[in-house]
Amino acid sequence: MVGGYSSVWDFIRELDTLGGLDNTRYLIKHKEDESQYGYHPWNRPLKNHIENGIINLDKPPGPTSHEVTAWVKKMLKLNKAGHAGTLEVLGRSRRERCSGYRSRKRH
Amino acid sequence: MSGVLVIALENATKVLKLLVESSKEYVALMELHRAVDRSSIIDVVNMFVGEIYQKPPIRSSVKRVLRVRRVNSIDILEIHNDRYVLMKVNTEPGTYIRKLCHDIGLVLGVGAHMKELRRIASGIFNEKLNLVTMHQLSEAVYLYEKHGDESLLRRYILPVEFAIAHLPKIIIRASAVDAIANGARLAVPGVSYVNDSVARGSRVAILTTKGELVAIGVAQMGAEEIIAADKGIAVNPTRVIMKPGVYPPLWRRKKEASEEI
Repeated sequence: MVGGYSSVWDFIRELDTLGGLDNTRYLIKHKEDESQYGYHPWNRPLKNHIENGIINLDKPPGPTSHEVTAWVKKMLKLNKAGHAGTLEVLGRSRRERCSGYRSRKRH
Repeated sequence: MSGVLVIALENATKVLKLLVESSKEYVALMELHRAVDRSSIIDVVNMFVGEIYQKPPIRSSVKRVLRVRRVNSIDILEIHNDRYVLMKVNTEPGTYIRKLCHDIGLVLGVGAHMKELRRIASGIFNEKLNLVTMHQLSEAVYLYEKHGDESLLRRYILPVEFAIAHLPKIIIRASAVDAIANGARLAVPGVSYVNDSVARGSRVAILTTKGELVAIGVAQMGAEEIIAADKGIAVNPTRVIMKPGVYPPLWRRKKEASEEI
């Protein structure tokens, strides 16, 4: 599913299918060819690709969502990263939660 | 707890609101504090499908006021020893599954708690859509930094456009792109193609003819109206994602031209 589209419509229709809009169609207001500017979403230069990127991450159960997001940010050397919807951590004792004991032990 | 955690990077953080607001799906393991017969478990669990009142748990990241949340479905996958219930829950964002298990326990009269939880979907992002582990990601970074191979990074990071997959789309002409990127409203002459599911007042995504996300906005006209109209505002952007300057500022030319006259 990465790249390899014959036209930009393949990409747009792929998004529509993922989003449950496969039964819709497009009405033409003003026929226009692909622009000569910008980049196809899958063909952006790497830096650009990362800066306009989303990671569907399989969060491990130990660390908090915020910690994981901070690690990803650090790994990719970014200024900004945010996650959608916190996945809470169960079963941390108060000692672990309040003292940072768990994270110290881990590193 | 593990599972799907959607992380937006740099410029893509602008679409986070959309991702936070999308519905979530979980697999949860609930432990009942005493054995209860199968049929009561099934009955009580089904009572929690639909609109429910929920007060966020003591340990929570939001204000603890009673709120209404919609549980779209609960499928019981397995009941073990009349005490362990494995279930698939599809809910509106902001529903605490931990609290849901607790409340089911109260209604059953035996008490219960959540033992395990895994999020299997957040909006369109599920376990089949390029789900990557921290290990895979760090491998990809290593491969790029040590060997200059960017293929894994490219595969693991999805373009921001995936966040708007569920929105009706309007594709605009190249000449209108930079105006929108600078905060202008989308006028009818700028529209190239419009999805027939665009309705007045609905949230829509504005894309270029290359499929790049320019902005998210609220449609001021339905699809048919946009096709029929000669002028007027089609979309009021609420969040602009594309930075100005990616497309040429063709819209300034008109203004300069009119000033010359």
